[in-house]
Amino acid sequence: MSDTFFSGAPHWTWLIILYFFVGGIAGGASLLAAVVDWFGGPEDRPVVRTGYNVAAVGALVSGALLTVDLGRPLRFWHMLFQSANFPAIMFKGWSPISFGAWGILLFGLFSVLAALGGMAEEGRLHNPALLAVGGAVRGGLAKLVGGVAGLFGVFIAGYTGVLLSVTNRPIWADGPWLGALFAASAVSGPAARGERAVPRATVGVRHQGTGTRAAPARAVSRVARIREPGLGRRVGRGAARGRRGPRDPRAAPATPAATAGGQRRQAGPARRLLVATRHDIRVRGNRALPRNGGDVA
Amino acid sequence: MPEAMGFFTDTTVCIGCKACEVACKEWNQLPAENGGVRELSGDSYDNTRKLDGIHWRHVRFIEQFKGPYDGRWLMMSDVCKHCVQAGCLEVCPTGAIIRTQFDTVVIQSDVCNGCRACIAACPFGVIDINPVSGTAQKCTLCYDRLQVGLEPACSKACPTDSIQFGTIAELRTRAEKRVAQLKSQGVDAQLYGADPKGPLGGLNSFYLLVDKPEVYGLPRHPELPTANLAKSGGLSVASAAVLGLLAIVGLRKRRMDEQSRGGTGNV
Repeated sequence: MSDTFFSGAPHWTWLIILYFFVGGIAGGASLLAAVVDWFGGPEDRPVVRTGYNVAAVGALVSGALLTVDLGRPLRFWHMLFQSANFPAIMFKGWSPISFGAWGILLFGLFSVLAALGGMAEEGRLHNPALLAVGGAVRGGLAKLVGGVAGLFGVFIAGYTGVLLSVTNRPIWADGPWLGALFAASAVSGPAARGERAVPRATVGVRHQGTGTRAAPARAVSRVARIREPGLGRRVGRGAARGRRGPRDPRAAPATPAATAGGQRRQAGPARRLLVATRHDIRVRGNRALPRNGGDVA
Repeated sequence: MPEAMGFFTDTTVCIGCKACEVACKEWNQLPAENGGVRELSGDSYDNTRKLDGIHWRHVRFIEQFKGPYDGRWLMMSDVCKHCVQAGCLEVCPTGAIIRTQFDTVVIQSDVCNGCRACIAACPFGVIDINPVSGTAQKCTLCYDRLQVGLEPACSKACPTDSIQFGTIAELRTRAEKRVAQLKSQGVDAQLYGADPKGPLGGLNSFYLLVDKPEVYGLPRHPELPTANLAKSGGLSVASAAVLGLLAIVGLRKRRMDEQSRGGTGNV
């Protein structure tokens, strides 16, 4: 009989499951955005900005979900500072939930900074305070902030699996693979989403003659294909579609109006996350096909 | 500094009266379950069933019956083991779980924020949330009573001295004598958690059992949750590095493909 059969369930139920999903997507999006930020070209900027936006919103939602899930939500800061000895830091390098709390805080900080930088780049910030912060995150500093956000992103994606392994629960603690699985899953999910996000995201720059729709996402989706062939195939169809032309015919004319429309769509990271979520569910549901299922690469 | 204190529970003399459960609940002012309306377990004379946030003592009934006239009851008053190497204390992110001067493990309810990491970390399933406080709770080995020189409520109430309280050194001597006595009578008795070189550095609440530990709901080789940390963390980092690298390689390859096609990237 396994020695893990005698432990008790920690009641990490749907809030935490939702967090695993949102945090994983945010972490993976952040890593991929950072990779494209560092190693991609100027035509990839929309993908980078979208990635950071998804990461920022995901980080904030993750923090909210985890806080609400606590038995005493108002004591969430007890994980960061010693409650009887404020402001002494509370940190245990050997406890995933302890270093994870700090990880989420810092991931939130850097991904929001990176997202603000991207929004300032697009000229979408009007609030003077936000504009000051976003405007400061540019050039080399933006790359650095994005890189740190990417590293924290992959940390967020993976540590949750490690956290589950560092228990005495059946299955979770019976092997060391959950962290690796969570990290891999987090990167492949947003990679699949990248495929969808790009055709729309690049509408804004297409008329400038640099539209390589779906190209960066093709690159990252290779990751998905390698890990999960079924997912990759489906995603590959999306890529093919992206290559041939925009899915939405209204977005095709390179008029200022279309550009503005494209940017307005880009403006909603929450919406993009929702689209992505639906897409992930559809892809993973295994039965349903992509929207234009007949479109074969 | 006082000596390490703890419990030695001799399950062979437990009569299942649950006086310890009642004394524990009274002293610690633990709330009733289900508004005081007790649901019967339906498959046992034991209706408490398990340790949790409002049951810090639980007399486990192990009903081993092969037929109507052939069988036995094993009874064990279960409680927090106050492990010398405690998994709950190890993972607690708020510092709410502390080791006291009596070498016992106590959750400070005013610090705990109810994250429940300790619940999954405990190999014995001792800890759970107390719905009244919203925090994780378990036996404190009556830390408040110990500090004023009183013995814990449960051992004080135990009518058969199945629960014995004292210094760990003294309890171990007593337990070994009792095992020798039982063995001389042909009883297959063994100690669980008394060995300081054993799992978790020994348990400050240890037991005398007459069947396999699993029968009493005790893991044979309890482990610290962090046993998985290095391997699990390493594999995660490796997997992240591989995926990150693949993303970079994919991106580069795309570039080279575009260049070899001689275009600016427009396909």
